[in-house]
Amino acid sequence: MQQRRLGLGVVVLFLVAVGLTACAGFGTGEQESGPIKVGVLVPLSGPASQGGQQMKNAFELAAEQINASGGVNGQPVELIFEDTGGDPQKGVTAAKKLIEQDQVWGLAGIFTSGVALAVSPVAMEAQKPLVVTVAAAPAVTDQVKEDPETFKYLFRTGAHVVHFAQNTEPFADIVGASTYYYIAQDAIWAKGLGKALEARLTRKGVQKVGETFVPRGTEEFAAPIADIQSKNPDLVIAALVSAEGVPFAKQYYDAQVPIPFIATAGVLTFEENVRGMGEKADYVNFFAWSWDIPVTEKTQPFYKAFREKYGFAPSGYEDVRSYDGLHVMVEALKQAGNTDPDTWAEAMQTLRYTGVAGVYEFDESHQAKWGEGLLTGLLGQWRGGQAVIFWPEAVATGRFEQAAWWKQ
Amino acid sequence: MTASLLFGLLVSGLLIGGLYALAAIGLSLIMGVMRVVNVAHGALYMLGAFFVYTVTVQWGLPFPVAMVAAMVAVFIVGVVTERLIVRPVRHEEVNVLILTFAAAFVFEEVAKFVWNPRYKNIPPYIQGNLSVGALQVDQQRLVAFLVAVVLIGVLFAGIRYTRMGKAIRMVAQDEEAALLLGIHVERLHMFTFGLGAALAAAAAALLGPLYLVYPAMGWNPLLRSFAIVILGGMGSLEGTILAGLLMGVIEVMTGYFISDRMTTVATFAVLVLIIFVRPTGLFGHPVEER
Repeated sequence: MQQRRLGLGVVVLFLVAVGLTACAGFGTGEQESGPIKVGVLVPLSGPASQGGQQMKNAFELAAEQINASGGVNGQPVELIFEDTGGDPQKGVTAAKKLIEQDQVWGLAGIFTSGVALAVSPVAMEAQKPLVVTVAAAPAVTDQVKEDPETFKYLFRTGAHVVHFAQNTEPFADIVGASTYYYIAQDAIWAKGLGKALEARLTRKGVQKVGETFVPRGTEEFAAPIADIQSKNPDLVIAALVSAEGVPFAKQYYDAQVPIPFIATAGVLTFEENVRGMGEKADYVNFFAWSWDIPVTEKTQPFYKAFREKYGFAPSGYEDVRSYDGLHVMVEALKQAGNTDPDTWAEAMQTLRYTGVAGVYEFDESHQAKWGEGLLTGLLGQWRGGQAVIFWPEAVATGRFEQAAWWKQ
Repeated sequence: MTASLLFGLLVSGLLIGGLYALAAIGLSLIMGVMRVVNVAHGALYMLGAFFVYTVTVQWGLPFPVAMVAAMVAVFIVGVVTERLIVRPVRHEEVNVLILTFAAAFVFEEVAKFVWNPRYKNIPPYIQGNLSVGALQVDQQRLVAFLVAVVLIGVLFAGIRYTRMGKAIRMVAQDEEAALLLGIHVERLHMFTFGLGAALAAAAAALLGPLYLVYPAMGWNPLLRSFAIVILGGMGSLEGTILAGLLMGVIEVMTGYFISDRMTTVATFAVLVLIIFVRPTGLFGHPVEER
């Protein structure tokens, strides 16, 4: 009897699901007359969920402001969010749902490179513009380099791993390092960053003495910290941008490791995470892609609007690049004058747009360019729950300091 | 490779292993007494961490109060879960698996709704390191380990010497005989499930300040707990403790000597090896068909 009831329940659930799916298929309108629908892929579950939520917030803020100022040539922008969970397979399913069922005009977002690599062929096959706003692996834009015709609708406003390496490099000079240790999450982008760092730092005479990759969301760091201590480098570079970044920093502090470490953006640039860590965040160094300082005329108004809307600060990367990403996407649409993806892609190639993080121009691989006058980064240090930006000097809010327990 | 480094790694492994054992022992208890697999165990652990966060950070109360409050709150959640979800299908193993799996997702969504998905930090309950020769031991880990040992000791004493404990053992050995002796088996199951959940909450309280609190944080401990329970012998509390300590040491040693990427592989390789040699796990006994 109980089994029959369970069976009946499953049938009813199935019918409800089928009904809801069918209903959701109705009401999809033409892009030329209705809103411009943009499907946004973000991880709202799993260890990268905080970054995903930050992206979602930034996209919503951008859409709200774009629509308040007249939309895209009179058409409002409508965002449809899907959770990827940071999983490529889930990302593909979500992208297909957005393309086939929601009939979006284009796609944006994506936190993890695995998802970006899995989703981009799906988007290109459906001739949908795709703006990757966070995922940083070289392989993402290498697709454009290798097959420009197939991947002509793929652009990235997020940083390339080489840009991460370029941003980290000045810190090696500041601490006078001749050796470094690289600890990173076991992810495509972090492996790419490891190679980029090695190439750049070796040229400067800074040798790698050790390397460890840990699964995303790792909580225990006893072994890597013991390894760091036994290798005794001058500098530790930590590409632990998701949930694992905070336990690492806490345990690194607990072990009183006498070596400065720098976090490559991510979870340790979130003000609320760091304040929750108390004194364990003191002397954590980081590089960030933007901060609440006048990088462009749009930077501080964005930080103010974000804080007012959500009650906490942006991290400066996933949110800023996503906010700028939607603006870039829309700006190219305005310049194109219609929603034809080919015209849009041509407009993107010649676009010069001043956003929150800097000025966006795209190279031949459709990567937002890095450099003076375009997009750069800055270096900071947490002390007493406050971020002190110490590089570049032009925007510095204070000086870099040595912690008492670091070796001199 | 120095002896002090090896000793340091061993101590780190044992300290963390004790906490892994505490996280797994609730799962083992439920399996041993009720013969069901609770896939929501990780989610109950996660709820425990969120309750501690609320009591310490949002209400500003001391950590011991938060830990007890979290254990009580998750005990109640466990009792309700047993009554509404597990009991109606308890004799259908697959349905228990499916429904507790679904419950885990429901708890995760509830956590997102109540606390939002943003990462949370629980402040440390004790600061500083203890020096043992050249070895630096984080006092927080040491205290967590000692509290875990006390809790496990209380659990063992409770099961061995109290009337309730004896009843639990009776039900675990022979449910029908327990019924004939007038033991209220269903009520005992409800209590056991709640107790298992409360132990998960205790582990979350002790580990939470070392890690980070977020809705998906329960899945890793769940997988680890399953491995520990199987390794120790299904339902064997002694086996769970030994397997937890072993797991902690294997993780740290593999991370240091091989690669951090290989810790899960090494853990499961040892699990497969032990199951191959001893199918019932370290302390398990063959189960007779009833």
